[in-house]
Amino acid sequence: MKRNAAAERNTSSAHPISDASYRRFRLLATSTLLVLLCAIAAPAAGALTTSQAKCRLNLAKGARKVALRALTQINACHKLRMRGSIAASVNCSDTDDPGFPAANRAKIDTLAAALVPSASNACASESVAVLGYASCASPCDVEVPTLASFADVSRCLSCLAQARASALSLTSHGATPPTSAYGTNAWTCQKRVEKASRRYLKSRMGWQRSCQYSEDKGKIGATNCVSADLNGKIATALLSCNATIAKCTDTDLAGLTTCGANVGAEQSCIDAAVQTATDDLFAAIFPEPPPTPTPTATTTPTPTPTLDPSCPAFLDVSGAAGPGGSYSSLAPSLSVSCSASAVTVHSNGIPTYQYVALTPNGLQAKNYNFTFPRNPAAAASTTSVPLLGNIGVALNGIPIYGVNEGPQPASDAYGDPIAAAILDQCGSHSAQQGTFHYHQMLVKCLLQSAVSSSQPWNNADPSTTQPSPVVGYAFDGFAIYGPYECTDAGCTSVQRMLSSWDNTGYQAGTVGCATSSACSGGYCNDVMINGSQTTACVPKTCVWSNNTYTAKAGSQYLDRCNGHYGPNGDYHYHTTETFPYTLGCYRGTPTNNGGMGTPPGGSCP
Amino acid sequence: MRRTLLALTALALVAFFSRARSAPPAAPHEIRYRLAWDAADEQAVEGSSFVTTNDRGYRIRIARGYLTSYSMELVECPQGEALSAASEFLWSAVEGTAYAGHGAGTPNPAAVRPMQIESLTAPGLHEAGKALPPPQSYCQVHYLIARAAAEARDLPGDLDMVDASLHIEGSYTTPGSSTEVPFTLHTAIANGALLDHATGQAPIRVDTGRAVTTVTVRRHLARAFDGIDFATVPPKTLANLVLQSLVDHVEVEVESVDANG
Repeated sequence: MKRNAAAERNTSSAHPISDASYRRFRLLATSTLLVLLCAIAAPAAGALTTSQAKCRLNLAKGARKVALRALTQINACHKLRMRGSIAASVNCSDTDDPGFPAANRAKIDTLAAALVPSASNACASESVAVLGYASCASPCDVEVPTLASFADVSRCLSCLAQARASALSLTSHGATPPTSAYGTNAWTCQKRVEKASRRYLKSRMGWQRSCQYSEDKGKIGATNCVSADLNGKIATALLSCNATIAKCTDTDLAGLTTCGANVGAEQSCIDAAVQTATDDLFAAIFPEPPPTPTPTATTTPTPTPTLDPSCPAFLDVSGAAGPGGSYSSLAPSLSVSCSASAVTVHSNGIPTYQYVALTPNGLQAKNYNFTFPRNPAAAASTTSVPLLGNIGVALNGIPIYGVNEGPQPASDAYGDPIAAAILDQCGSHSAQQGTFHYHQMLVKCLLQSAVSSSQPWNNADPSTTQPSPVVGYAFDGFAIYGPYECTDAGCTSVQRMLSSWDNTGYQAGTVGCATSSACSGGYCNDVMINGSQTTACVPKTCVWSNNTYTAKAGSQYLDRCNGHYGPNGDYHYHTTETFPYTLGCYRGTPTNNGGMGTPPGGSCP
Repeated sequence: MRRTLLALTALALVAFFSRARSAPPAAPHEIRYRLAWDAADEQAVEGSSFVTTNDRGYRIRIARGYLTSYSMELVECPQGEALSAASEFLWSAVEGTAYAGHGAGTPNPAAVRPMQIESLTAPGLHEAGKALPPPQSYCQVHYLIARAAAEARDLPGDLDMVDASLHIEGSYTTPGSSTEVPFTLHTAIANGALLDHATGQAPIRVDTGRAVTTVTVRRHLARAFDGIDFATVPPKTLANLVLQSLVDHVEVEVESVDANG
């Protein structure tokens, strides 16, 4: 569960609920309510039911507790680090840093775990969807990919509260404050900044929540409780925060790595950082509930058309950051249509994220219509993937190529592009005619929440304790999942899936290599050797010649095609960290969507 | 239409026979690639460090740094863009077989892959290699920063740069502060620039076999840190930002001279 501040900063702008739309909703809800009140002459009532309001109140209290607990434990870590009790290299603003004290980490986790049953009980009679909890915001969408229950919502909010606390700490401390400051006036100043920011956050979250609860219960009218300061308490809290920081001197601040170079700057940036943290959390805690149809006495509401759930869900790329730079005029487009037997993906092949010119081929819009079976079935025998060209399509409409690169340069013909590090940090690059494609697929680049990110590679790494989502579809119709999967139907635990292709072409004596310095003309790369993942120097030459499939016992090992029948009985593929990264072959019967090459994948020309 | 075809045929025949009588045989054209830094970068060296101040007011000192310039190549003009079909036909008649552009199965003869490692504390000019492509028109230049292999040029003796595209050890000083905060970057991340040459210019024509073209890729080290707020940027993204800023500020200069004086 890695988080980073860049992702934090992006979150506020990426959040689907703007203040304006929120106010519009309130206005609409209030207007509708007034009409209904007049019509049925009912007594005054709040915008939400009492049960709904109490549910949201419980969630808000929990998130605030976690944020404060996280700040306390982060500050404790800083103290330990500054006095030399833990390594100076520890980034205490990152509670996932391996050096973060386990005892402090446990205190946060314990609280977050305790809040889950509390939220489930408080919201037992409510619906996640009705209250508007659609998806968990970045970076916690990786840890909590779906919000199916209030337990999920609680976990999401706890994760977000920790992430916002971490971002606030990074602002108020810097990643690694100078340990030489310990015991000096600068350190005293740092403690003041910690105290001031924590108290301000506590007050601001508390009064925002109080305002929203009043509105939810109908005690006040439509109010933007993010900015409304109904009784002036937030302003008072800010004054107190500034007064505490003002006890520092500019010299003290110069000896620290906090955000401000002088007292005034420090007050401003702490105010801004606390506002960012609290307002982002507010948006996550109090989402806009979806509008409900207005009932009428004389007509039956027309059923809303629903998407066929068996038609694969791809990403909505309409809000994509796009490739940017000299390609800023190109925007990705993607739509999916289904017939009874086939799925067709219409895509222009433009990435949702920044294009990095790793090849001289540039980027060109395409007119793809990839079709594959809607109801895939395992074939009597497997089919080789093509040596070159498309083998599937990712959830963002970008084609997936097989494991090997093309024939040039001749010295590296049909080599491993992952080992050669000629891909961007999402595993993609462009071929001739500006054909953008994947050789490797990373979950964090293929989430809905990644679509608005221009550099999704900076997003948090996926959780290793949650099963991975679908990242694409092979042209035989079987889904391709990320690397983690439940061990059983009840998902009592999660395991990382492993390729059963062993590297047999590695250079002797290089197992466990750290860099390619150990290699004679090859690359040090992640490989499987006799079923264990390690590193070794691999040749630059055709990758199919250097890897051999050997079936292995153990549910974590995939078949020749890099797939298996999962705990729910369905066949699917997984991405792996080693050869073949996506597909080793097709288990089903593929449609031809532009694959080519002689011979097919599985052997070398 | 028939008249046009006849005229074109006549022109082609004239060109063919005139070439057969007097034109020198088409010969490969030498492309020399150079890696350079902005003049201001070379003056920003203080002792053994490179020192600059970014647009956010941070003073950055590079005490040790290396960059791997992996490859450079001229990129062909899209078919039909540089020349009309008719003129392309005439050109081929005059100059012999026009190079039709490398496909999936052929390498780009205008590419060099020096894997040149450059010191960032002594930014200077490097000759990065030569190519001898046959006659061709080029519209872009591709410059790639990527990780070095064991055969890279000028591997430093004081640091293992194999598998690294960028290494920087140094410090930054926050505006208004005098405290130097140390930082280190070491990454294998690749980044590149595809630079249009033809903005207001003719395509780079490699045609006669009598000229030498020098392609200089000029970087601006002092601007590599622009936009970076060191106090808040996560260490994980710092390398990405520096590499992106480096490629965002690359310029290409192309100069052709007659090799025979």
